[in-house]
Amino acid sequence: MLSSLMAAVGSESTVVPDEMRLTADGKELVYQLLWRSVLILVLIFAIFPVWMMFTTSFKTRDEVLQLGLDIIPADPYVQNYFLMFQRFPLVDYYVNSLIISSVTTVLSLFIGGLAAYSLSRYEFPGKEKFEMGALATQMIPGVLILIPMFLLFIVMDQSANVPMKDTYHGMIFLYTTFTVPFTIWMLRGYFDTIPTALEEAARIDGCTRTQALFRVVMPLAAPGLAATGMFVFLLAFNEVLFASVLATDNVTPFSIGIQNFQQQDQTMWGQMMAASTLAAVPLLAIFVVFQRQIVSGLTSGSVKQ
Amino acid sequence: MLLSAYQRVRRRLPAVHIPYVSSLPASQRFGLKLIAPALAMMLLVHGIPVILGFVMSFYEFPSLRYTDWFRPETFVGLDHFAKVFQKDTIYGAQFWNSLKVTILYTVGSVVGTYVLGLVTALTLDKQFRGKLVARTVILIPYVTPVVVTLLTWRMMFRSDTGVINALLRQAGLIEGSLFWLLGPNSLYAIIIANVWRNFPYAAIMLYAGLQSVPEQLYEAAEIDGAGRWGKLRYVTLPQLKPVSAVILLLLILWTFINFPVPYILLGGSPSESGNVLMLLIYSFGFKQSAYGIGSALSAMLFLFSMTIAYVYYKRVVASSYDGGAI
Repeated sequence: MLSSLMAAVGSESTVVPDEMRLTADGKELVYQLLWRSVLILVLIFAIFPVWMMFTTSFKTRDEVLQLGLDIIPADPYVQNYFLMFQRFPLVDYYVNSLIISSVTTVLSLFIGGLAAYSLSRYEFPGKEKFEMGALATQMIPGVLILIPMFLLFIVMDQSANVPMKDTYHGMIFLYTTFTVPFTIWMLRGYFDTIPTALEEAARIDGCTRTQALFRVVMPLAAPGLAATGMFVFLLAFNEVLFASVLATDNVTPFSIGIQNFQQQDQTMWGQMMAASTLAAVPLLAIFVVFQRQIVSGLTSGSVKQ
Repeated sequence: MLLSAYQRVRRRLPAVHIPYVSSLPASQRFGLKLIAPALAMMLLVHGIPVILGFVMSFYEFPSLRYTDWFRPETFVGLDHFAKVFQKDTIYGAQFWNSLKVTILYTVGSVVGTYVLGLVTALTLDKQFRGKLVARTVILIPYVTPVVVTLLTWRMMFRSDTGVINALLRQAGLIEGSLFWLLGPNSLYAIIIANVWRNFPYAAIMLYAGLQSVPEQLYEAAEIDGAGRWGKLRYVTLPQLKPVSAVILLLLILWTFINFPVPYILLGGSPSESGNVLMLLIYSFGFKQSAYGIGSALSAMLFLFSMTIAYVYYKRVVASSYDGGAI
């Protein structure tokens, strides 16, 4: 099969006159050029929108509306970074997002970490069902939960006098639960790579199971926790479906608030992109610092080495 | 510190006796204890609302006092489902259109993401200087907040002054302007943005898969006379099958129930060709207060995605892990 395929490829190239044929070195060169240019195209595609966001944040209104391809603004207009705060309570949006996302991250890592450790180390009845259940939650369309949740929140407020809608704790509770299955999935891969011998040694030295987990395993899993934490933070930061219905007024997060720059008659693109850049830069910085852990965390779950 | 505080409290509490669970060995009980909080939260936030959602799809919601829906006179049985399936009702027409759009959106996005991811992974797998930089740049779409990047895409897709139309004009591909966010092109707009967003994930996963292909297989293929294409076709791609199965499953599910991409690019009331099911349900539920229809549609969407996942898992993922080369 393989050899016949090779033969077919070989015979095809006889059409090319001998002197036009590429030498082995020439072929190699063409091949090198080809994959390198493909890689460069992919890199440009990957970075282009982020670059556009960055440069647009330095453009005046007129410049943004001008037709054209000025990829680098000739005369940076930093005013956008100051004006944007006057238009909407952007600082509040940032703070709201920060509170909701960071508390969610801590809780999700804690609760998901416990469950991931349990799945990685212990056998218990119903383990498989729990795993399947956690996986199944990822297939639930958000709106299926949102409609009943919206009504439940209102009912809780009206009949039990527990405010849930438009509160930090309501959003944190929801987001923590949404991200726990993801945390379990990612951290389980990490725990699997930590040798059990260490815990066994700790147990022989008189640690309880809980102590072995928190004093021995958790510190070793710190890089994994950092990487998972970043994704949980991103998930919470990016959420728009639940936030658009359940988090308005005083707890409006950044992901909803920033859309205010877009209005019926006009959009303040320059200021919107300035606000976007300000939100993206810290996360990109964290990513660059932790990228080794993030990449290995992303891949550890589903690639069998 | 927290740990010792927990243990101090713990010692004072009386021993709890739960039938069955208490009879298990200590290690099993510990395992159960660790998953208990996660399980409880998932039951509360996923379990109960999903069941409620299914129940709600059998009821009609009085438009003003919608919290009073759980009453005998508002029970409508399968009416909502029937309405949705009939092509001649207003709901039915929208549903069938949205189903078609959602499937096109999913297929287009998944194929695009996978192919671009594979090409990226193959080029990353070579030896070259600046590899770490390239990998970092490729992951940028995946780690930049999605709201922010989608708004940027929205800006780039503008018809009059958007950079994409400007580029296309420059290249001589179009004259005048294309409408990307309105009309028939909105499907392509959400597919492009979604591919951009997800291809780094596919690329990094496939790249990790490439690392784990045993070198001996390539050597053996070389001895058999395989060239570059032969190695790719007969060694690399079959070896990537298990990881591809997982990636494709995740991509299908993520796209099928994806909300932010269509919502931020096209807004709450998109044109027909971009009206995916998630947007349709959202507008039924929160624009038209048709909670019953909204619940019925989302219940169906859930069953549909569960079915896809189950069939796919049984057919592809399970078989490629058991019988695969890894």
